[in-house]
Amino acid sequence: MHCPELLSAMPESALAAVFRTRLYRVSVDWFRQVTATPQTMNPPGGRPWWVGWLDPIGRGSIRNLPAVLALLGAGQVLAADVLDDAQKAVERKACLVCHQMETIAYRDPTTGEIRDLHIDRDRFAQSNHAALACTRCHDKDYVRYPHRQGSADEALTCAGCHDDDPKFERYRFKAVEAEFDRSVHVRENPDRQHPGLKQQKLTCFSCHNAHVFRATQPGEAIEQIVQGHNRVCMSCHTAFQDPTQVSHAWLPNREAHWKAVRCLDCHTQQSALPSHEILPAGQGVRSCDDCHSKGSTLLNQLYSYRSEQAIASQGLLSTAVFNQAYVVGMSRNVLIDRLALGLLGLTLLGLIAHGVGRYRAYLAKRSQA
Amino acid sequence: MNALYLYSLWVRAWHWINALLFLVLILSGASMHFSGVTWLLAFETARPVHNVAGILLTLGWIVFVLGNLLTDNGRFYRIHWRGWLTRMTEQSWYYAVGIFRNAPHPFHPSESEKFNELQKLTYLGVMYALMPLLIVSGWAFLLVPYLPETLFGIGSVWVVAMTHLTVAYLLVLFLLTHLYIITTGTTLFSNHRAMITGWHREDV
Repeated sequence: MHCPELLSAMPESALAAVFRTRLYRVSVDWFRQVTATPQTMNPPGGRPWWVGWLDPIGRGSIRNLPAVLALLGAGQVLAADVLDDAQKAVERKACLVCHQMETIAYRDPTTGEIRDLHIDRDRFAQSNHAALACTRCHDKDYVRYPHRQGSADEALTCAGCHDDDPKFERYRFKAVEAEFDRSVHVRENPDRQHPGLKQQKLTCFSCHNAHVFRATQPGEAIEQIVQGHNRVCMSCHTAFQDPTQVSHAWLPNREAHWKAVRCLDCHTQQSALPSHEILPAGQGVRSCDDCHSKGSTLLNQLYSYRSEQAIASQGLLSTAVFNQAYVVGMSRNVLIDRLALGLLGLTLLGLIAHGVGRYRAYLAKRSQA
Repeated sequence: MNALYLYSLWVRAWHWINALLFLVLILSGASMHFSGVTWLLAFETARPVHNVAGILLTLGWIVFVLGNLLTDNGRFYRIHWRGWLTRMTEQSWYYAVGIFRNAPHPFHPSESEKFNELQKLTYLGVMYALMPLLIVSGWAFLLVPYLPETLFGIGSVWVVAMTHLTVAYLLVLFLLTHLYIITTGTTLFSNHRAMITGWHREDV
């Protein structure tokens, strides 16, 4: 039996599993080495090296067998991935046939509230969850239509999927859950029945729409990041969109702050990543110094982000010359400025006085001469 | 008239390039720090000017250190502890009192000693303490993403910024006194001339 026949006789999943292993990677590495130095495969006066590839199972091509196996394995894995992706896409498309309609909704029989079931197709395609099959999160019974009432609804949380995945370690989902539990939203509504949510439980998805959620990427404009974060808050705190409202009237340049600063930056304890422990309104930052001077975490965070972004996009040398991360005022310190300028002023006066003394000594010497 | 060749070409070239970079860095640094003051440079101009001058200053400092290691210029910075306190006291007394009484200079440069003890101490502090701190803190602004979030319990950007600012002020203070002290040679401009021609001249 030739190798391809042997391979095709094996179940696809078993073969795919085999070639996902170290053997597959070693074979691919070997294949790269071989293709990178073709002349070593070409005995003097023999056939051109590439003939063996055109006729992989032909005469004299046995030395190519591992590479052929690797190629076929890669093909199998690729085919399996493509098939998997295609299945997910078919499933998403089937769901979106109905759920992309802007008017799709139903009246909750218990509360009488209208529940919006619309999913924005374009924003979903841009989201972090765009490649998942709908049934990865939602109950399998949703594939049947009409959906059975018992299918609703899953006790999903972000940490439920992401907590154990080392890929998401930096987002510290476990800590986020604990922060959320300490937040004003949960503290004031320990039964998680927030009055604004019309009988729905307060969960991650009360603020974060999993169908549009997209984590911030280096390179995104800071204004967009700020707007994206604030949009989440404004979706409930709609009163702030009214330009005539008086909240935050104490804040100098209120509109400028709202455009440039995330709500979280003042309404959480400042940390490297946004905290989910939203503080009560009275405990928000009110002191200008907390952001605009000494060692502010916000300044640290902003400068680091801009610097990282600049190095990633322009390279180290270009950033060294044009370092656009520098924020006006970041090196200001009233105490150091006053002390240093005072010392410089006194030194200058002292030097002038010294110079005058020297000149008088010179005049005295000249008069004696 | 006694003439000594004390400043070799590379030392003079380094000195004047360094002096020019100091002025550019002070002007552009002040323009960034006090951004918005009309008679200073525009922030957008000052930023790249300061960064380029900073890179050149770093290269200049490396040349200075290597030059002192590889040539005999380094010997002028060695402190000789025997009689050091006496020489320091004499020099300080001269600047504080003797100079107003037309007292003679307590120090006369020679082929083995180019600087008096006060000069030596100042230049050592400036070139081997303040300059490295200034350069490291300047580059740290660029490398902040790779620094820990806090240093000594304070935001690292602030630590970097305050170090850079404080050292910069101290170097401005040095420049101010340096510009004055060099006029205390045999004549007002004899030290300037020496740093241009390389020859130190004084009446014997």
